[in-house]
Amino acid sequence: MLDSFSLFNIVEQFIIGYFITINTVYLALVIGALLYVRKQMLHRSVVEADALFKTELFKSISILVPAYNEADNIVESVESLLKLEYPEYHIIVVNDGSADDTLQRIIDHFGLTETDIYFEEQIEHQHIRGIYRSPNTPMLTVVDKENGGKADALNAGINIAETDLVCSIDADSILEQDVLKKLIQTFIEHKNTIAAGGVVRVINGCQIRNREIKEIHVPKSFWGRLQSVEYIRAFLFGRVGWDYFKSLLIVSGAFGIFDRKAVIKVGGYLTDTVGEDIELIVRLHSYHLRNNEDYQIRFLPEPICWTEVPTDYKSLRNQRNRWHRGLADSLWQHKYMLFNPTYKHIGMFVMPFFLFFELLGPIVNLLSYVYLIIIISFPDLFSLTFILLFLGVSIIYGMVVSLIAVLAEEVAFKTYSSFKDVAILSLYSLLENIGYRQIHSWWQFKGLIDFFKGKKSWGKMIRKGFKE
Amino acid sequence: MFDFNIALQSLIGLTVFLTLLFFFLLGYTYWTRRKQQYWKRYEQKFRDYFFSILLDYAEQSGPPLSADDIIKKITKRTKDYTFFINLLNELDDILDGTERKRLNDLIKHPTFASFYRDKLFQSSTDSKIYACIYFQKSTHLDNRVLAKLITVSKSNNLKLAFAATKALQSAEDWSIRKSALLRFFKRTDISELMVAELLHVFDSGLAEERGQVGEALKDVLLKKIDPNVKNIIVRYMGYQQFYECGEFLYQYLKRIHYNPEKFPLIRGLITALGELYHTEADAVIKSYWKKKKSIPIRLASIKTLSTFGGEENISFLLQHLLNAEFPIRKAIIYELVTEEENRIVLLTKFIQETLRSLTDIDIRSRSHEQFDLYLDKILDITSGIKIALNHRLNKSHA
Repeated sequence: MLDSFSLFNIVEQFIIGYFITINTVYLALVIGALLYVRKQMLHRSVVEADALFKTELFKSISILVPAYNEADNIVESVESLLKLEYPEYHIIVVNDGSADDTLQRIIDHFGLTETDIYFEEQIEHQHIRGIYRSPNTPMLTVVDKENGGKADALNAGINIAETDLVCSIDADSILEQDVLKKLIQTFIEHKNTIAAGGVVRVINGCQIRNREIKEIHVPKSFWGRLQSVEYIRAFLFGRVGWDYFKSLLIVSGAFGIFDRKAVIKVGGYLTDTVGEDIELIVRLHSYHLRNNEDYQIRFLPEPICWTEVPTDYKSLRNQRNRWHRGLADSLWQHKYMLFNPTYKHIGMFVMPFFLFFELLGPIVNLLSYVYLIIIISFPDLFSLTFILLFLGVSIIYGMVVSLIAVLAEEVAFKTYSSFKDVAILSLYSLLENIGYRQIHSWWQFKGLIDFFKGKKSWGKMIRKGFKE
Repeated sequence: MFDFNIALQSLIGLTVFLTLLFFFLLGYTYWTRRKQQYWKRYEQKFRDYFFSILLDYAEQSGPPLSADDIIKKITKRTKDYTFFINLLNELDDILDGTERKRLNDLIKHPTFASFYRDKLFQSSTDSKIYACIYFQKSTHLDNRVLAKLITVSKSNNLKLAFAATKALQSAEDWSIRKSALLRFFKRTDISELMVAELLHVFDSGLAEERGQVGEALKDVLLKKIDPNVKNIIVRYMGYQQFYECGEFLYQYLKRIHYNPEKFPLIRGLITALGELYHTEADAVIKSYWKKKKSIPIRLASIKTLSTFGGEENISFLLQHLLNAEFPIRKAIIYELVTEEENRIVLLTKFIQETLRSLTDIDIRSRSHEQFDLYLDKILDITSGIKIALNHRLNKSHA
């Protein structure tokens, strides 16, 4: 039988081991990503991207813009999408039964008239009420359908699209003008690519004119700055790192390009989940690995999509709660992949990592802090050695990883316009580990509980919009 | 339990590392950004100074300056030469005729040539790449430079080999250009984008070289290289309208061995033959349609047969309308409806005949489901025609 001493011993070893593992994996991802980014950039400087347009090598793309109550910015969004640098692309705006005048505004602005499209309904979605086009803007199609959620709107867009590739974006995101040119290269160079994501970065604090980013700065708000560090560490280098190990499990819903046929083959987006983006990627992995089909899911490290992050506590809490429910749902839907050799490294390593470190990580995190409080509160249990080690491997090591991510950003991209911005980010990469991560774990933990309760709502989000 | 000393040492070690890292990050950021700003300002000044001098030189409008006078004004910094060449290239895009020729002569000036020749023979990869970029533009390749470029083009470093292969395209000797191209295409680590770019460098676009370029590309297609590379070449030939190669591509398509790996190449050949309007290929294309069930191949065939036109080809497409998959059906309908008017007549006839044939079908010999399916297909085709006709109408109104 275990005596209490050895039980505490095991708990402490587990906690220390957990933090060492998770921080080391993230450090490896950041370093791997940095090396990969450097190599990619060197390669890019030799090949002129324009060469592909001279030989009709490009593939046509349909940009799918699901819009729900976006009356205030839908016209500007579409206008900015019409300026992208790419020889042949289409924009399909799907009005998902908006309660405001999103549809009317876009019809009036572009002089659209109702028309028909000859298409095959390969994925189910809510009833389409009308399709609108204008001969003056032939690349724009507006679909008006009954409300069914973002995933349902994307499914309708996928059915209507006539192109090989579809690109899903959020109506309130801003894309770099050469985004398609950059991302298409991976589909040309690697024929088996079925999905590709790009870096989504924080727009708060940037100077914008005519929906174009003129100067890039860190956000002014406390929460915004913390998220900037988080986006660099987890969403930029984290995902590039997973890509480097051919293990990408997430392509952000704010921006992703997909092979239309591959998405149709797996049945399109799942409508009954709040994590439709991650779920689709897991399903694509599952389908291709099960059928032994050659495929790639890529992540490109170039900054291509800018999005507004929540700057108030409640919105951020709701967003992270939803993300965690989405992750839980995706892992639950595809639990058969866990430790199943059929699904190769995804089933044997990546999914278990996401289960134990991403999904259940918040529980371990919170319990570690509870344990810390207990041993500090009871003199009999007090262990200075454990406290020192815990501080080292959870807080200081976490700071090192965040700081290395900021350094890697500076070495590889120099995205931010001034030295001051990088200095602020450096300070916040220290601050992020004292307080923010712990609160974040709590939000995630609540998200997990809400998942078990069956909560499917998106939660309220306050957006301030882009100030020009 | 954990050892106290190790715990303390780990914490101190990590804290020290964190502190050092923090200050290194700030120092690195500050230093690299200052350096970047300095070179930005320097380049701006450089450009401001030389822009008007070069423009005057090209247009012969200012005080008479010889090429040597201008070159003397440049210091020996590597960056100066790079900035200067970049500026020359920018002006080269703006100017034309004799003014452009004068500028190009300046690029070939012996000072630059000898500077970059030295760079080419240095051990640094970056120096060699700079030199390759220069020689690609200068066309001033003596035997020593040529020999070195050939060696560099065989390098294991893909980036370097690509740059050297592009530089070799400036050689006057056609065989050197062609063998450099072939050598590069034989590599297994190249990307399709590189192939496309190299083809553009290889084909200067000059009318007098067109025949030679076509012959060279035909030769390359006969060599043992990746089918994906061949596909790019074939599509290039079609897109750039190498009509004299139509017969060759046709024969190539006829003789190609069936292999799923070659599907993209077959599709590329069919597309190219359509672009080259090589109507003799219709029979082979139709035989591919029947043999292979690949949708992309059939989609390319629809486009090409529609481009060829003629009642036989259109009737062939019509024959496959009823039993084809949706993308094929849609492509056929759009090719028939949105092109020449007489195709609509053929399509109408086809629909009328199909409807008439419905009366001849022995309902008892088919299940209800089969019959419903058949009717659904006809309904789907007619709605497709209706939508396509509307689009045609809207287009003509626009």
